[in-house]
Amino acid sequence: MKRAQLWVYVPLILFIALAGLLAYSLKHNTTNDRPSAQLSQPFPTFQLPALESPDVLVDAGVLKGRVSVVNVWGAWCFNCEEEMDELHALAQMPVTVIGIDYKDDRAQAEKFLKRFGNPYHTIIEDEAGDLGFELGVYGAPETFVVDANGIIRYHHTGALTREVLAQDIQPLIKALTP
Amino acid sequence: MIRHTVMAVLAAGMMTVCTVDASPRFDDEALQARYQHLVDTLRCPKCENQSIGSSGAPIAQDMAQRVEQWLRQGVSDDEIRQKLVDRFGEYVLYEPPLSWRTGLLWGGPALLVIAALSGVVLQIRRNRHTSSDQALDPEEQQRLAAILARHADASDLDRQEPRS
Repeated sequence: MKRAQLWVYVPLILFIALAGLLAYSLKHNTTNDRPSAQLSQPFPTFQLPALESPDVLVDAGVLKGRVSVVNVWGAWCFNCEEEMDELHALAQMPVTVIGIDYKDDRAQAEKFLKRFGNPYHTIIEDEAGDLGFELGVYGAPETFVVDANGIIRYHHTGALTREVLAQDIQPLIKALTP
Repeated sequence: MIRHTVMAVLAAGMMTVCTVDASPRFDDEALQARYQHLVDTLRCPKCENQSIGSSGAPIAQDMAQRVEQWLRQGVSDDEIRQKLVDRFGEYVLYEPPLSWRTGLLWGGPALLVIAALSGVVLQIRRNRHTSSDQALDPEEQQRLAAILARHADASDLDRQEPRS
């Protein structure tokens, strides 16, 4: 066979390789399509009321000294119901689950928690959405893992799933916990 | 008739969704121009490929409001873009900046064109060589001789008188 004829197959081989790569990453991609700008960034400073005791102010000090999962949610967000099982599972693990009630109505939020249970150690009431904005939140639910120094180590957009917990969050918590 | 009515209704419906408050936010024309340019060239992270100025999504409106706020505080255009990139990532820029990571994105199409053109050039040169380097085998030589003989007869016609 003449050399020129073999070259004809190069684009086909490249195409199959590319298709294979795309199929593999589609199947195994538990994290977001775009890397988050928040990774390795310190958690933003804030001072906001706690949902369940509004005269108490919460700040980033609540994250220091422990590994936290920070979950941004709202009673208005349909997908948030889907991750309640995963959040309750996280609440049983050696990690502090902190909630940010994002752009929500307090009465609606409390109704939501009564209905689906409350997995949160503390809930920050971010009514104006300013803390969410600093975190680059563009669509709830979103979840962060923050280390004991207050540095963001993981950022997931969309509802949590068992795969995300098992493949991403649990191993990370283990790695960050001394 | 029905198709036209359906299309008109759909178009009207789309307009209600796509209309965003277009009233000027600044008295200062220069600031208004900067604001308009920024919201037209920053991408909403939630709505695929819409600018924050033309999307009705809450996050787009939040971002546009922040742009307005920062402009009033005297923040420069570059700083505004950087602040949004810091929070939402490079995705908000329609033109990804040139870095090692995005090098393939920028250079990929150019590389492919160069590769394709090289392939074509190489193929042409290869064709030229194969057609002139290979000697004719005996069968082809015989055919060539026959053709040349026929041609030799024909060229004599030019010098002879036309056959009557």
